[in-house]
Amino acid sequence: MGAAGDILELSARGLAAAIRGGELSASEVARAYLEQIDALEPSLHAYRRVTPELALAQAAAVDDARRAGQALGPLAGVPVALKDIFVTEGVETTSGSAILAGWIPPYQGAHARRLAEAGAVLLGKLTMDEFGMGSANENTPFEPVHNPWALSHVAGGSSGGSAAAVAARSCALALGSDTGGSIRQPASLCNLVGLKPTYGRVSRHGMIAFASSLDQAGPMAREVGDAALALGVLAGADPLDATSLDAPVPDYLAAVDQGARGGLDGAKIGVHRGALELEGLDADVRARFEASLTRLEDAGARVVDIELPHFEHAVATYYVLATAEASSNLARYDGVRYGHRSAADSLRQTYEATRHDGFGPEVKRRILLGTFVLRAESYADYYGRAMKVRTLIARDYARAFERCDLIASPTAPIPSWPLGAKIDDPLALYLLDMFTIGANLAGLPAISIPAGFTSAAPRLPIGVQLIGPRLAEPALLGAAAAHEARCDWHREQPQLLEARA
Amino acid sequence: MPDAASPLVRELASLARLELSAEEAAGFGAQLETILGYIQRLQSVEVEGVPEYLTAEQVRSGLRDDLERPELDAEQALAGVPVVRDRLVAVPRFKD
Repeated sequence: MGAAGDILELSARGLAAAIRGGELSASEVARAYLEQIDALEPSLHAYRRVTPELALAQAAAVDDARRAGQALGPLAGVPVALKDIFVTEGVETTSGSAILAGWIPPYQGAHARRLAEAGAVLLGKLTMDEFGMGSANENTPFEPVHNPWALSHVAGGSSGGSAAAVAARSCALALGSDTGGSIRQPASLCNLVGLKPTYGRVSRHGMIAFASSLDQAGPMAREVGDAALALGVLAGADPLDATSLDAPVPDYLAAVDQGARGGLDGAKIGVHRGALELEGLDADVRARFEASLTRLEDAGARVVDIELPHFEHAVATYYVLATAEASSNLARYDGVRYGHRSAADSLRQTYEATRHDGFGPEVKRRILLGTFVLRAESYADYYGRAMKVRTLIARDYARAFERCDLIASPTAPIPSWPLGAKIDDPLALYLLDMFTIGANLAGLPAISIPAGFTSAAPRLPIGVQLIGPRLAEPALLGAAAAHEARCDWHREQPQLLEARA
Repeated sequence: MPDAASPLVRELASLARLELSAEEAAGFGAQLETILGYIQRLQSVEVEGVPEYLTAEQVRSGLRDDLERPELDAEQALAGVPVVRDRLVAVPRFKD
């Protein structure tokens, strides 16, 4: 082995095994990925910053450790990249915002630390919508990312750089963050597996806050097994995040292998049919969703009808609560302790000018909305009421899981769209989150998996989502693996890469 | 350019310590109206007697032990501060 193309086609799990077995060196793997990044970045803009020196040093350390006969971590030598929301010691971290441009964190966040301890090789930081606010990666002061499946189209958001990089084989695995669908929707638009774990399953320490009661970090990968491998490294209690869960971390890879081999053995998959009748669901998306249900039935599952009576209120609830939390969290960007400062005569003018110059339009819009729902005159009618509707939504899921093991839906109501086509209609973009937001509001784990492509050109990926009860990641990964074992879409690569090969 | 922004947008911007150009304020005013119009649908949900959402984590979480642990030293903590004077964070005057 050793040809760059072969290296890039290996899964993260396959790479880890090949490096552990001495068939590949971590250094040659890192070099193959760095070359791929150099070749594709001019068309993709998936990376905010590439860290070649760090990557080659980490890879050399893995090779040295192996030669010395030392034990290797589960991700030893696997080239990964982090959404730029993850604080990385010594590497510029911006959360996609001009207000943090040039900020070099003085500490390591939980995600970069756990990946490094597992032996992963960090290739760099990935572009994103500013502070995670967006569905298309167009809310950025930097270059918007392009979808490797159709360069004129969006890669989704807010973890769009993560999705584009994994799909383009510019990293073997990436981390994203998901507040209302920001891992699952770009995974769906780029033919990837994207897993949002149970709220608290993965630490939030060092993940720059957008909406603290909804934010969760998770893996984006080409295959289900890669997502399971990464989750095993990331999951677990963290004394620096009081909301992290002190629950045992199961063997996620075993769940994947069991699902792939053994099938679903009577598992009940719930479908809220009413959601499929709502305006705006693309015909191809619906057809691919129905085909995936058949595939899950072929694997031994039983599809049952469920009801989520407050489904239609999820988007409104989310945009009250997420903006309220964002307006509070983003108050810390005032030009005093870190990031950009605009010169002004008084302290108050410094705050106002810094925030005017440093934040982009979508962030300002959400700060204003969040300030509105939290101000004394509107608090009870907006924030307080939305917190009650959130309880009703969580209860809907709890009742549904009395009738089924997992809930299936499309991930996004439409496939990718041309860059620039929707940027002037924020509400229309918010409504695209209708299938993903419920899992965040109820704190549930959810996964998006490849489900095929559109029928007309350009050929665009479509994803299907599974939601599970709290801490049911093994069941989710098992079902996703059973689905994956019955199709080949995850093996397809964008034309961009075929042209290069 | 006349200020076309609603008093509401001006009030919110002031509360949020956010300077807005006249053009921004007018644009946000129209967009907020559309978004708030959509959010109004929550007023129709029956929430009588429903408690506000509480996560399992909030129910469980308690205080950590108050233990000393290594943290950043002053140089590290000040490295990202925009303006430093005499190892202190410097800001413009805030009192006349």
